[in-house]
Amino acid sequence: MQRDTNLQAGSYTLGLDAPVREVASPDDDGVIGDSGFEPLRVAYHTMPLEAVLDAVVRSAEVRLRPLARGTGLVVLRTGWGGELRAATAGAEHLEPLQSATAGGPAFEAIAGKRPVVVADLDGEQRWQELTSAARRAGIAAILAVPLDAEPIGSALTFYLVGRPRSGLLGELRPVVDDASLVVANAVAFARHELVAAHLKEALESRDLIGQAKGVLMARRAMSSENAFAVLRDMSQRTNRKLRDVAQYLVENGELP
Amino acid sequence: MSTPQLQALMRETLGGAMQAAGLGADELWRGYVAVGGSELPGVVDDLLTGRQAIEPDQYDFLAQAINDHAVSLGNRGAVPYFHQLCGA
Repeated sequence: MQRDTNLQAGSYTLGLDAPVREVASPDDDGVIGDSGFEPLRVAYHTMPLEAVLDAVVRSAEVRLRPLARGTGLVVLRTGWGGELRAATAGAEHLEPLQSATAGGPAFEAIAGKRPVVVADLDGEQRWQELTSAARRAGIAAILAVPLDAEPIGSALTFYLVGRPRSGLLGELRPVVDDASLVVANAVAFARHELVAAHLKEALESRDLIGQAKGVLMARRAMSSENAFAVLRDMSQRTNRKLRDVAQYLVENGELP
Repeated sequence: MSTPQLQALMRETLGGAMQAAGLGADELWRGYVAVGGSELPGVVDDLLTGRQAIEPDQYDFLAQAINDHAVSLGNRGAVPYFHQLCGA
């Protein structure tokens, strides 16, 4: 399958004539975005999830340049365990310094469902490893904004070279709305793909077991229930998965 | 063993084995379908929580799914089948 990595981030001028955002929804191509301002256009249905998240952080950072020197994204509660992350080059060494155990602005933003601003890196005592590293990288402030992508927990972290000015959060709204839609849809799509793949595998296994039962029913003139019992008992006796017992029988014409 | 006692024993056996194997409801349902189970996820949930009685064949499908999961992790499938559970 050809992967479409086209990302039209475009430019974004903070607070200047940002048009009213219309409700964005996937169009026929599965692309999210609107035409009111330079949208985040990510074909999440044709891209690996990791590539989508990379596109989100790159796009978000482009819109905040030159104020942002690095952008990170953390995604929790995806439904398959663990967490997902993405970061632009300027944030690659900073993002690992915030985590579920060590904490960090993004995790606090997710937990509190509100933005977290670290405007004074020297004065912030909770995440000293992160703030020290940020300061060495020339960062003046950190801004973490939760995405609206429930039940997923996610947040963007912007590493800023200047102090966030008044009104910045409001100006960021379109960026956050875009990122929220893309992340929510991309994770949901990936989850559905995973479930579909698992179900396909389950149905193939079921079919194989059905074939094996058929072999036993024909050869031993037994019922379907009894054929299943034979396979089941062999599975237990040999500590093999039922599917493997069935496959052996179908391929070799005898039980393992 | 009375029917309510047997139902409780089946639920406890399956629930305990699921917990021990770290097997979630979604994964259990996929494994259950893979070995021949045909009930929907909500029905399986009802079976496990006691909102619906577990028939022996459904119990065996669920036991097999848990055992297959254990085997895939390199462990021994230790959940007894229905006839072993009730000593039949």
